[in-house]
Amino acid sequence: MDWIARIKSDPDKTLTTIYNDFRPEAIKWMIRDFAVNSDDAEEIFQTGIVLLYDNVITGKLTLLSAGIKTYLFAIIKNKIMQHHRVKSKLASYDAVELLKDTADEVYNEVSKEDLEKVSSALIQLGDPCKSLLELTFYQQMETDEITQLMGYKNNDTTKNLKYKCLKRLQKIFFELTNII
Amino acid sequence: MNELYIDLFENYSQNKMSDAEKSAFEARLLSDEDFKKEYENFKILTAGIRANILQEKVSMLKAHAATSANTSTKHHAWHAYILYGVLLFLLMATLFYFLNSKTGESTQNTTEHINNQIPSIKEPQAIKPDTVVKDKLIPDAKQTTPEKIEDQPKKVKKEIYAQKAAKNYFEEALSMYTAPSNFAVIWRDSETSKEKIYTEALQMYEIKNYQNAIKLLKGQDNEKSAYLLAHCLLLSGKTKDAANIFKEMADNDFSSFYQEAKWYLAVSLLADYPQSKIELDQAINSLEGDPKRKKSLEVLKSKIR
Repeated sequence: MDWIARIKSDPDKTLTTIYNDFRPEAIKWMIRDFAVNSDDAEEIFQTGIVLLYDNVITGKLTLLSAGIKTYLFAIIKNKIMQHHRVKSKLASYDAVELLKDTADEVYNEVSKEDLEKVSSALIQLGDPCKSLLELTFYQQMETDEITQLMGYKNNDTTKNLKYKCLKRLQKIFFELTNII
Repeated sequence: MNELYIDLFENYSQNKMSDAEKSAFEARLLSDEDFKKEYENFKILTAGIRANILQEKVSMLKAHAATSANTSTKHHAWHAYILYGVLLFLLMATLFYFLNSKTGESTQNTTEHINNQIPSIKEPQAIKPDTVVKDKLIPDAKQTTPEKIEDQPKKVKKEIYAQKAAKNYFEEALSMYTAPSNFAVIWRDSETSKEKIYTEALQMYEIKNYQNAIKLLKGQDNEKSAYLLAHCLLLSGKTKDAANIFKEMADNDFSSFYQEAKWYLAVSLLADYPQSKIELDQAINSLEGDPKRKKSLEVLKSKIR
C-alpha cells in the first residue's frame, strides 16, 4: 500500500510512523542547513506532517511522484522560509496559522476567535455529530460511505442528521458568540 | 441555516458545481445579503472543523513525541532494575545455600510440620457461562424448603409465587431475545484501542461470558461499546441497567442504534414486568408501525395479556 492510501486508511498510525522514520534526519537538517533551533525544528516538523496529512485528505496530493520524504521536506522548507521571513515566534499549534498554512484563500478572513469558538462548539456537540461533520465537510466522504461507516439506516437518514448536526453546531457557536 | 443552502454551500465549496451553477451561485452572493451571510457562517463552521482536526493531529504527534521520550528513559531504567534484580537473586540464593547446608535435617522436619498445618482447599464450583442470575431474585436457601408451597405460611407463599412470576418474565424476555445483526460495527482508524477492547468483549459475549464482557466495557466512552454492554447486562439479568442504556439510544435519533434500541428496550422492560408496565406500554407504542418487528411485537404483547 502506498503512503497516500496508508494516510487515508489509518492516519494516526501512519503519521506516527512518518514521525518516527524521518524525525532524526529532519531535525538535523533544519538545524544544520537553516540555523533553526531545536524547539522550532520540532514544531516545524510536526506541523509539516500535519500539512502533509491535510493535503492528502483534501485531495491536493493524490500522487507522490518523488517520494514521501521529498514531499515532506519540501513542506518543511517552505515553513522555514515563512518563519525566517516573518521573523516571529512559531505558533504552529495556533489554529489560524495551521489554516493559513493550508493556503486555502477561502479561510483568510476567518478570525482566531471564531475558530476557537467553533472548536469549543465541536467539543460541546460531541459524537456522533462531530464525526459526521468531519467526514462530510473535511474528508468530503460520499454519503453512502458515511452511511456504512456510521451504521445508519440509509442515505436519507445520514443527510437529515448532517443538516441537524450542522444546525446544532451553528446554534452552539451563536450561543458562545453571545456569551463572549 | 436552510437545508437547501447547506447542500448548495457544500457543492460550491467542494467544487461539485458546473460553471453555470457556479456563476449563478456567485451572482447570488453579490445580490442576496442574507444568502451571503449564511455562506459566511458556513465558511466559519467548516474552517473551524478543519482547523480543529489539524490541531488534534498536532496534539496527537506532540503526545507521541512525549511518550517516545518517556519510553526511552524507562527503557534505560528497566535495564538497571533487571541487573539489580539478578544480583539480589544471586545473593539470596548464596545465602540460602549456606543457611540450608548448616540447618540440614531440622529444616526438613519444619517443612513437613508446616505442610500438615495447611488445610486442603476445595476446588471452587465452576460457574457455567450460560448460567443466568437475576440480580434481585435469588431466594435464600433457608426460605425455599423441599416441602410443598401450599403448606408454607401465607407471606412466604406470596414471596415464592412473586419470585416465580418475576423469574418467569425474565425467561420470557430471554425467549424474545435474538442477537442483533449490527454488532460487526466499523471503527474509525483513530479508534484502534477502543476497537481492541470491543472485539475482546464481543468474543466474551459470543461465549456467553457476560460478566467479563461487562467488566471490559464499563467505562468505555463510545456508543458501540455502550450498545454491546447493554446486551450483556440484559442477558446477565441486570435488566434495569440494560433498559437505561437502550432508552437513551431509543430517545436519540442521532444514535446509530436508534431503531434496534427501541426493540431491545421493550425486551429489557418485559423482564421487569409488571413493575415496568407503563414504560413497556410506551416502548410497544414506539414500535408500532415498524414492519421489521411486527411479528415479534405481537408475540411480546401476547406475553403480557
